Amino acid sequence: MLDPISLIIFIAVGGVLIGAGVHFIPVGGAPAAMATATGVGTGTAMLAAGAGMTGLVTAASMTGQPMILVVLAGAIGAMLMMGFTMLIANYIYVYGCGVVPASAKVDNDPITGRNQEIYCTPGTEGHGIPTVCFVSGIIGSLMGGAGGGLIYYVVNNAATNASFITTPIEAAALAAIIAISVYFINSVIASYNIGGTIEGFHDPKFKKIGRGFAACLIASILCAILCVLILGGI
Amino acid sequence: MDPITLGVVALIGIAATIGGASEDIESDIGSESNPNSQVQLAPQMGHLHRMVNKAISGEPVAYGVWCGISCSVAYLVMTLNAGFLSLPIIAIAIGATVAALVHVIYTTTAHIGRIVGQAQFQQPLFYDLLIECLGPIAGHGFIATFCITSFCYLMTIPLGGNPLVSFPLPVLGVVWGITIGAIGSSTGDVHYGTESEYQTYPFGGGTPVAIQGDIVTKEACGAKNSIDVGNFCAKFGGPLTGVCFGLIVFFSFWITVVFGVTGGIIAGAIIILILIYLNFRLETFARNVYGPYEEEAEPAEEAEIVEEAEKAGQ
Amino acid sequence: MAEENAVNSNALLAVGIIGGLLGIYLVGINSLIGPLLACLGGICAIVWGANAIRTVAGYGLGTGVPSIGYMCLAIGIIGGLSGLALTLVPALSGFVMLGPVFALIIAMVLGFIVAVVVKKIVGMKIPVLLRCTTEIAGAAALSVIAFSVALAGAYDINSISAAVLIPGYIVLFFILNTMAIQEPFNACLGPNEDQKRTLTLAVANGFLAICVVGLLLIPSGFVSLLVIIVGVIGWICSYRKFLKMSNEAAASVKWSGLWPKTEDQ
Repeated sequence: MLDPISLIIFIAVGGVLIGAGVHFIPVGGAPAAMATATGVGTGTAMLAAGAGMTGLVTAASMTGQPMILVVLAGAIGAMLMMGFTMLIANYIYVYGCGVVPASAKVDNDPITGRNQEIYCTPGTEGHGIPTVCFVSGIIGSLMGGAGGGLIYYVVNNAATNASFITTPIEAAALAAIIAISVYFINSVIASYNIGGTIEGFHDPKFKKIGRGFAACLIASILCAILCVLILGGI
Repeated sequence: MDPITLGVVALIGIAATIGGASEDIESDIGSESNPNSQVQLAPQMGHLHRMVNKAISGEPVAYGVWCGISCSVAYLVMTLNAGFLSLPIIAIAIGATVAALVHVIYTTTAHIGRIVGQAQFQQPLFYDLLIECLGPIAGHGFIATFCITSFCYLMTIPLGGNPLVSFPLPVLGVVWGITIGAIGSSTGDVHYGTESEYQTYPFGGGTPVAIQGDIVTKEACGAKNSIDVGNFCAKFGGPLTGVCFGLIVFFSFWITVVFGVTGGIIAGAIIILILIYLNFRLETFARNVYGPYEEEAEPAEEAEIVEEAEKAGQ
Repeated sequence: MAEENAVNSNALLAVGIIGGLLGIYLVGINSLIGPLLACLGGICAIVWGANAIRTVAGYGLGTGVPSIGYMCLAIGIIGGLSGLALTLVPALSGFVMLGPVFALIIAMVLGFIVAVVVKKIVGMKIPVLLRCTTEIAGAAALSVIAFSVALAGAYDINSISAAVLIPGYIVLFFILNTMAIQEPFNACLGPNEDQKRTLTLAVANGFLAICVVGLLLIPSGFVSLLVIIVGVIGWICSYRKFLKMSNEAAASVKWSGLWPKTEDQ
């Protein structure tokens, strides 16, 4: 049984992990769906939410296990989702559209050292998901999944002590809706911070992660205080 | 690990594959999500079209709603104990039908709303086009929702003693709906956006900003319509999206069923490292086989190509 | 972005708050009419929220309309649940009746603070962001609580928890109300967007949502049929109005053939 202060700290840490993780995920937005920008061709908050939801399910499938296992299970689920999505998206880019994965924000890939510029189509901002973006996405989903799993674990544990919770499945549902809500709030704040698209940790926009961290921290602490209120800790 | 749980996990994977493929083809027919920005842009660039413009919201939110409604209604019907109606498969079918109805209604309002919002570019509001595409959209949406509701249901029933995930069915529906929306939006929609919309441009290379909005509006017989898009994307983007979703759902549970709790996490980490390596190999292949971006064909070569095309046409 | 709106935003705020709260408080009046009134209160909140999203998204958010929708729904749910749970605190146990009001206030305060964070720390420069985020969060809280209260038959947290947490319907309301609130403006987006048409669509979406809620009410008996009938009739009326307004505003309405030739073709 966690005391209110620990509950607040854990939920806040979970929220900040989510917000910071979103900064790592390579998202190109609508242009990427037309191979006009590097990254996955969807919206930031949407892709982060998709990965987070998979992490939530895998974390929930470990209900009853120690905290570290639940958190790791959440991380693995999110990483699996992000990894397969990016890989299959790259298959479609390479075989379906005939593009070479290349980044427009750096001259050479920081991880493989390969030249990027000569493979970019002129008139575009890169396309596909080069290795650095892929690894960045894995790191981002690791943080996001771990954050979501952490929030799920602490709320599920504390919910069994709330006065209006009568069954374990009710506790799981409450933990799920709180984890989903905190997840969405932090991922949208983070997506506002990066302005909608980012290539990963090598992108110049990544320097704004400090502001995103601070913004998500304040929002998550507030949400944590309200969660403690819901769970009857006050 | 017991064989029944493993068999059910495999069944879940298959249902996810079919549902994922169907979801992507439906979102391509409806032109939902990111490539829709081009269909939106086309009238401004002077290219009027006969394509569905289904801008409801992002795919994750949309599929969260359809799968959430389907799972909620299925859960409700199952707990009602209404004779044969409460058999799981009938209840899931009823849920998917209700979701398909809501889906179709939102499709019509989104298409009409967006076309009218662009009235100043003289884009006509074609009702026959909207109505002819509603059938495929409802059908593919039904299949996708049915498959997702089915495997969510399979996750909630006690197999070897404990269910795979101890969530109520509606929660699982929304969660997996959001996930399939995110996956379909990231993978299959690229095939639609880069290839189907810009078929007249040469294969290979991205879409420069200068030609955005210059989408293909004519097909083999007359105007291109959204069912042609479905036909095109069903050959590559749709099945790959299904494979992606199936793999994700399958591996999320397979690792813990086969290797146990701690072993599952290690197995998951190994799979992720393999994925990073596969992506690296794919990038190497593309760089070596396609090579750097080349200059356009010389004018003499272009004239030859045009001449041959004219001869073939006679 | 038109400066004068056909329908005043403050009037819609009043309709949303008063309609939503009235619907929630009147749920216990009668087991037949009560849930119906709660559902109608939820529709008032949805229309208020749709107008607020329209106001803020008109300035260009950079990430799209749905993102502010589900962020505010998430804020609304956390704020709403905590406001309702506040009445469990021993010092406030005599104020169970104020639960929904607490829910509204906490949700709006959380929305306001998140908007301040987004404006000052993240640096988004949209003039109406503070007011509109607060409004959408309030609308979100009221609409989700209204639908939950319709299922529960009472507005104290124990009944609501039993009605929407055990079956897990609260997550459905989260995403369904996100869709109902953000879809009207997202669907009508464009240079020729018109407030009356957008709000008519919001009303239609609200009635469609209560059709779904009506289905979920089936275990409660005859009231489910009443809610579904009101929902279907309300939806048909508002949807027909939306179609009529759209046909009048469209460049042209066709049932066959190609588009008119432009200079390029």
